[in-house]
Amino acid sequence: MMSTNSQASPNNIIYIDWQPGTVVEPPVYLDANVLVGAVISGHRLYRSCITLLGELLLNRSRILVSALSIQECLWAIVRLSYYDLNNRQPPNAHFTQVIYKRWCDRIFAAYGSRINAVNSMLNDWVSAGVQIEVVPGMDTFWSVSRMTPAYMRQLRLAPADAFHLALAQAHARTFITGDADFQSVTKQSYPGELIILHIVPS
Amino acid sequence: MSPGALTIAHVKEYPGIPVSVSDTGQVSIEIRHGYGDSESSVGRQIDEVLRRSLERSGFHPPDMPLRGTGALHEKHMGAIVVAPGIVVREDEYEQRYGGIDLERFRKQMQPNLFKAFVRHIGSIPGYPNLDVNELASIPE
Repeated sequence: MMSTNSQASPNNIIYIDWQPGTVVEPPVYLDANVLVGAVISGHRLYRSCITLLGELLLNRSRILVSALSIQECLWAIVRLSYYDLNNRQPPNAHFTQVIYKRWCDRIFAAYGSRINAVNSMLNDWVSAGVQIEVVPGMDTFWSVSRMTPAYMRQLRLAPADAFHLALAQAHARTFITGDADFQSVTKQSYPGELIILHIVPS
Repeated sequence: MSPGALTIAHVKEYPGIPVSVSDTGQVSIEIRHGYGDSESSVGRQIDEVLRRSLERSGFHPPDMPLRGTGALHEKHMGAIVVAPGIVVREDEYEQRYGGIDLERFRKQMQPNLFKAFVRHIGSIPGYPNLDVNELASIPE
């Protein structure tokens, strides 16, 4: 699995830029950007997200998601809907929770049917026999909660990113993300083994 | 409804036409090209029902192949059947599935899994400079 684009920390945390053909070791924890990156088309990571997720389904890999990922996917689709309503694109668009509350009714009136797109996708996958688990369970909740601030401090990660990393370390063999910030993990020493598979355009 | 008009009950009972009706009343009809009933009354009525439905969905009549003309069954009226029950316009097909080796997935996945896969991917239009990392961050 190691490639020329991979970096290993002293504790076997490996960071790899994904490329077609990369073997993915399950179970895999999916970051929100990969999930939402699959239901929204046209962006630079889209084809990579689709190809990689297709491979996971094809191989019947065990997939892990979290309530946090789902929440972030909801924000992503709501944010995009707000951009669409205003016919604006970043960096000429700004979105906050205050704006969301002001625009909530209009967003749902115009785009309500797509807000739940990621949930529907995962639900259909489960109905088709894909093994998807929601983490953390009570067995790991406290350890994940304890590790999150440590990752926030040492890696300067945002709380949500630190939580994703702690979840992945507790439950997964591979953490799939579109966020290059996780590359900093390889510069620190952490317990456990994890492959961070970074999605890049294909 | 006028006497003699096609109802779903007629279609359901018609030999060779796979139809399922869910508890919620949602109807799923599997369409295949080249049934031997192309010239029958029921066949023509089914064509008409489908034509009207597709037109209402924005598909364009000029591209509509007639049954029995030998056209590819995956393409109807500028629409492409990606999986049974999943029909998209050609431009949408390009946006959602272009550049992806869909045939490999179609051949290797179970049909129900392939359908679940293609149903959702790219269902929301985005654009090239969209940053999904930024998009999925929790807003201030």
